[in-house]
Amino acid sequence: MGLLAILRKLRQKEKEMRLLVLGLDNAGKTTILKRLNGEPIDTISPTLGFNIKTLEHNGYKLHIFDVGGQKSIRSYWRNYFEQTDGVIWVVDSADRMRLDVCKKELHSLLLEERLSGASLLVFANKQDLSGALAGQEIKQVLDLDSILTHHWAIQACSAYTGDNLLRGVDWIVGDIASRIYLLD
Amino acid sequence: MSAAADDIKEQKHPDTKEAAAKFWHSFQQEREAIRQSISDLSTQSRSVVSGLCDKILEQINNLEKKLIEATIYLPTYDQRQLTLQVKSLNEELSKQRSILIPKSKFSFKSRKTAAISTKPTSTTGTVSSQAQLPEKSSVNESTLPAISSNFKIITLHDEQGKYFDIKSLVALDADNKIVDFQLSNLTDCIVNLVSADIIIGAIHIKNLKNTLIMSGPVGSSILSHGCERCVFLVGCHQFRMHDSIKMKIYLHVTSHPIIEDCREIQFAPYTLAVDGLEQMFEKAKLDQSINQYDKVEDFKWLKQQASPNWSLLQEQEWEKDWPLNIKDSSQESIKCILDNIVKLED
Repeated sequence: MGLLAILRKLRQKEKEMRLLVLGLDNAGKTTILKRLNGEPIDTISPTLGFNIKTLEHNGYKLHIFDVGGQKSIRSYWRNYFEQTDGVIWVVDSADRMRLDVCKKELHSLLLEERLSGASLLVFANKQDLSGALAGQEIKQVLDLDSILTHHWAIQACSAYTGDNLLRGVDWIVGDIASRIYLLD
Repeated sequence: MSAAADDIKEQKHPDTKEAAAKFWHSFQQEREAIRQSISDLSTQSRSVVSGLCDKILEQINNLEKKLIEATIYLPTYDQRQLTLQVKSLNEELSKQRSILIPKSKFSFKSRKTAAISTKPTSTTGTVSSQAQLPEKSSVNESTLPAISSNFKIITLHDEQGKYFDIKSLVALDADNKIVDFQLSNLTDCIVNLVSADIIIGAIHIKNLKNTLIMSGPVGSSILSHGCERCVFLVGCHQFRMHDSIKMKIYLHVTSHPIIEDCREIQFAPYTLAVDGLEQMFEKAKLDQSINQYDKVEDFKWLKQQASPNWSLLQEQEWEKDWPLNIKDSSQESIKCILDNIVKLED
């Protein structure tokens, strides 16, 4: 306990967090990352590999890993699980035909032991599209209420317009901070 | 061990004890104020309770933030006690809230009015945070005969040997002329989505056979799965194709198109030539001067050498005369047009 306390204090001084952005291909993961970082979003190609960005947010240093979501590279996601404080799961709210795949991938991800302590933020992205399902509907389809193993929240957003991205990030950063930096 | 750590800390900061005591004091004052306003909630009128709840929640969050910042000098016992106190504040608030505001009476603000908020909305419990997250209001959609449409999404599915024109799919008098398309299980069909008045947000495609899709510039992305012997004439920001075989793609794309589990895919530039094409690109916010149709990336071919799964269509083979208007929409006539355009070997 004593050692743990010291480790926590050390970590607290750095105030660093590691976030993993995952989701099916075409969900808008890279766009979210670029939008948060204030980069142009109009020539983003599908991610073959991963992107890392370090951002400052509310006094915390966030290391955000955005890993490609194509089927053939999903098996590499596990290489990024170690030391992850939070998972941001991005959903293309307009992609109705693949919501079942999305649900399956999410729930199998949550069984991963190395992610057991991580907070989960679900971004119901692409709310700018007219065919997008609302956050509440995404919550039902993905059966988020059945998740009891992780702290989670869902946030409807649009990476295209930037709407509500910060709200989501505020939540996950706050949730992680209250978990790591306070002895409960 | 933890006592030793505290000792070291105290040597470094001789006044930590004092600061901790001070913090404890100010924390208790704020806590008392918040508790007072929670208990006052029951005396307020129903219309303002929800707003007040949010305000109190923000106060609790601020208090918690201060606590996190103060952990650097607070003794462990204080940290634990104060954390518990914050927790009980949150519990008290949600208890009051559930009493005063019945859950079913929740109404959510429209997405459009909810501007980007930089205010912190963090909470420790999931239940309370869900309650605050904004909801998109449902959009009314004028129903169209024979086509199932929900919100502004137009769905075409399970059809054979037919010609579809966007003008008959989307009511032109609709206020909002931005729509999404979902096309699935079409065989031997021609789908004409070219329109100067209607903007397409996204197209999702699944299980098409021997079908031609023609579309103007699309605002976001096109995603297709499980197609065979089809021709697409499309413009978009991102293009992804999975599990498909024998396709011709006439493409305007501003990023690198990708294929995965595909074979015999031929790519060509976007050859749509209609009046007002420039305006259509502008409306879709697509840069007409950037076209990366030939920068295809194959997720099933990560070697240096060129992927054998796709190639570029020779210029002399490019189709330029698209069936945007047809006189005869009989099944035979459609088949004849398709045979002429698809021209793919078995």
